[in-house]
Amino acid sequence: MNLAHFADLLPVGVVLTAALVVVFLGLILDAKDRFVIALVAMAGCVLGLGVLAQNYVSFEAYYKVTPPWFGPLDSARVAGHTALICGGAFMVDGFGMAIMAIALLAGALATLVAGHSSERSALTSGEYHGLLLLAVAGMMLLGISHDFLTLLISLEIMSVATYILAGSQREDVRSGEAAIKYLTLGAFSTALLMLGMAFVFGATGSLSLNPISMAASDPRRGLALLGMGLLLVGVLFKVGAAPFHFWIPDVYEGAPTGVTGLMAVGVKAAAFAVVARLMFETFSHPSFRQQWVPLLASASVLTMALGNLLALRQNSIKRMLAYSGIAHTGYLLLAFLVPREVGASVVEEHLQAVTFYLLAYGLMTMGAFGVVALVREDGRALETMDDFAGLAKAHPALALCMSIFMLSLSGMPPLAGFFAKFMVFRAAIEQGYVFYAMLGILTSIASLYYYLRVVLKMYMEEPAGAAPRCHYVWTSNVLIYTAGALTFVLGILPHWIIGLR
Amino acid sequence: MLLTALIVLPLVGALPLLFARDQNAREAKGWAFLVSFVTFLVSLPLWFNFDPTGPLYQFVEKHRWISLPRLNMGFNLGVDGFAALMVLLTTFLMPIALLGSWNYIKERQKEFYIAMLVLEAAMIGVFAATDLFLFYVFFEASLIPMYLLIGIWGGENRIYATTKFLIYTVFGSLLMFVAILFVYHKTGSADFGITGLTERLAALRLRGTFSRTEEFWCFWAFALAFSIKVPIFPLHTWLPDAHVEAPTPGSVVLAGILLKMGGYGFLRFIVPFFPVASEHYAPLFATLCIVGIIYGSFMAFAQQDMKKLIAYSSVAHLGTCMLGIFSYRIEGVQGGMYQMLSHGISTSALFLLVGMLYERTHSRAIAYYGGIAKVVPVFTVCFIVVTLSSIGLPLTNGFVGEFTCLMGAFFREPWWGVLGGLGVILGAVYMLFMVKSVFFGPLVRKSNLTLQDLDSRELSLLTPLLIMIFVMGVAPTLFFRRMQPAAEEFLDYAHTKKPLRAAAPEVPQ
Repeated sequence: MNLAHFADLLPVGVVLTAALVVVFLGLILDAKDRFVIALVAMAGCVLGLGVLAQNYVSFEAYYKVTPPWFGPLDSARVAGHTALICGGAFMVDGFGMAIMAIALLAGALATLVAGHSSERSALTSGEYHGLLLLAVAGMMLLGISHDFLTLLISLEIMSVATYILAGSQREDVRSGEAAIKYLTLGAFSTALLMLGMAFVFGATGSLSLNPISMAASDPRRGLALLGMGLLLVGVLFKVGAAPFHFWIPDVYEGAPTGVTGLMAVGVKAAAFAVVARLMFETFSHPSFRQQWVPLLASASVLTMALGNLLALRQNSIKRMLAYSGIAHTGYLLLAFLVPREVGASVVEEHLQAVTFYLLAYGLMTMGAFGVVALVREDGRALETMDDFAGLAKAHPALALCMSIFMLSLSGMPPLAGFFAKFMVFRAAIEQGYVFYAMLGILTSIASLYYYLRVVLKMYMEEPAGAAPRCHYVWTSNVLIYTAGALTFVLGILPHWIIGLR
Repeated sequence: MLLTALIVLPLVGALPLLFARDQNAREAKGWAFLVSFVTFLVSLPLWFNFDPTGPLYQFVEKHRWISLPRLNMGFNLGVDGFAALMVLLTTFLMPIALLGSWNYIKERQKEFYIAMLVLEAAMIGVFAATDLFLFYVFFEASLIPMYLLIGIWGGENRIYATTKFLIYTVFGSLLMFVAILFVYHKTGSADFGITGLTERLAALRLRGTFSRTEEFWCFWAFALAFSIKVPIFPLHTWLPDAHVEAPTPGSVVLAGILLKMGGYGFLRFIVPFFPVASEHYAPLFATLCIVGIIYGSFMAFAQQDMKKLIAYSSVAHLGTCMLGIFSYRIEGVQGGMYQMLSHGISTSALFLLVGMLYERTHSRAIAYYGGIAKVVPVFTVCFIVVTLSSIGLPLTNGFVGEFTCLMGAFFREPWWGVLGGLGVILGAVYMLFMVKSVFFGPLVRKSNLTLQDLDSRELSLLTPLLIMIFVMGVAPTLFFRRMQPAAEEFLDYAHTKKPLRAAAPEVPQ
């Protein structure tokens, strides 16, 4: 491991260091100074983002070109540079950096989510934030993993940390239930993934994620296909695509809100990174494509339809956001439907659509969870739709931000969610999946109904009693207003981010 | 920079309101009126400096916006004669609508005026955009303020009405969204310029790579979106609900401008993009328009609620207007454009008048009134003038619009003209019947004896509308000569006669 590789991995190092510092701080600080822990955790994430940006800038300054965007094919574009580091364990390309950035952003925003007063004690502890940072580190590593071993280890770093986080609200039964459910189903999907890896290893004799090319007559092809199928099921579990979505609503509802946000955004982004690596690299050969593309296409439509239709009936905001997250997974899967072998530029466009979508989704979902985590002065949490009734009267700015998140999630221009949708649907249509895009759009009409129900409650309905007032938590405000402003800005100027490649 | 200024002005004007502390700041309405009035003044060059003999698109602006490989959206604005008039109609109606909401809106005034100003910016953007993507952004963005206007300040059943309004409209526009992406992909992912897209689609059709099936699918996706907006029978059911529940200013904007986006979409996108499919379905749409005219009139006749009556009359009037456009004759197309403007003036005035009556008595039921002409003579005169313009009496704007529309329809197919003409007769029946029952006859209800006549604010907001009714009725040439180049261009596209420019952009396959 030479020094250049060290710089590439430094953002992860920063986060890991911060995790240690935070745990240590948790041991020595008094209860009243505990807020420092959250700040240090957030500072770790922000510092990681800074190092990442510095890496990007210095690459451009040194090589006079932007970093390679995706995979070994594109890495060859930059002479004298290798994106594949540590003996092929990690691939630090533009896509990986983007996933790292989204994971860091998700981590930074998750530390700002205020806990319910009952959650407070657990959620200001050192372990909580340490685990949170550990999960972020796992997500970052997952974004750049380029062989099955690092992939598995990163996945476990992320998953184990999130299992514990989901249950970190010890007094709440639902939190424990969420943790157990998440643990069993997560372990199950990891097992499937490992089995898949074993089969692929058996077929190819290699742990690398490099493209597999096999003649149709090759006797080991069946083994590779079996492995591919198991891997696919495993990652679909992790991204929460139908028909493997059952764990999502319960886990999202039970986990502390900050952790829910982290799972919705970070875990999803990291899992989609794995989908991208597997589908666009390892199994990019046409003979594999004709197997997995139809599978993903039907999973995508099923996911969009189920997510949107089930969300219609939800009265709990967290469950509604969980189902909406499932629907968004469906939209995202549309961008992976590439039936033919295509050039690096097309893959790049599709993955740009994916990363922009994940970023936009991250901002609006985190913002929405930031609002959901607020506590009303009468002690009730903003849990069900009815708790939001009349919120616009007492908190106009908060209601405005929440409306921005909801409208953006439903894909209304000129917000980030609209442009994200635009990109993925365009990707699908360019590959000839017009019919699937049509179906997807039709299901998203249902989504308009349930997202706008929140807006409707806040602005148009009278509360049962007095207008709800919420406890003032400044970290939440920072989170909500930042996310709101960014959702708006990214909707109007999306090329600022997409142009970074 | 004029068009950009027109879009930005209301938005900037809304900012101080956003940060105003007081929910019901008395200054809010004054400020909003001022902003919209200044916007109107700024928009006047669109009338005075527009050269009818000049190029088709004027006040053209091109700003780089999103520019990525294979993804180019420009902040490109420009207006032809018709779009310029639509922008003017928007800026003209807006201060009037705000003045009309002076006493009507009592709760959450600040938010109301923010919504109105944002709506104004979006509507101007819709008519000024020459980039399809930009158009779509404004088109969708205009929905949200309207959704809030109906949902927050509407009547009893407002939540049902506003949800219906939104779901209907978005259903259409989302399908159009997919079609837009398809068209963009088909034309080689170059840019979203409307003229460029039209030409490239024509080139593809000549080369046979834009198949009939594809064109027909795209046509339906677009047509559904804009037919819901117009609305064309049988997609009109959201309109009466939305109108009845909307607050007066909302109704004014909805009838006056938002509905016109539908017709505008047919003129600007559907027919130029998909001329073959449009020609194929013109008889179908004309039939639907005629059914809409007759059905709308009968429904209007059956209404007890004045607002609902006017809403159904809108269905009939816009049917006439679309019938003129589908005639593909220069008279009909110009008539359709004219009728859109004219309907914007008359129907807004009607909604304002009914709103004024409602503010006094809190009733819109026709049966509630009767014989109030003696109590409120000025109001009665205004109402009758507007009614006459709405039913198309000569020397008023309605006459010119309906006559030219029906003339075009008659030239195309005599029976279109004859059946469409029924709308004029039926219109006279239901409107005059309403006038008779509300204003004449014995004064039954004692409480109506104390009705206040129009005050100076109401009179001053009605005066510009009344003036426009006569100006448009007496001197239609002022408007027709502006719209003529746009109408001719439209017909060139419609008959696929438009010669492709030598420099028509190459389409990569």
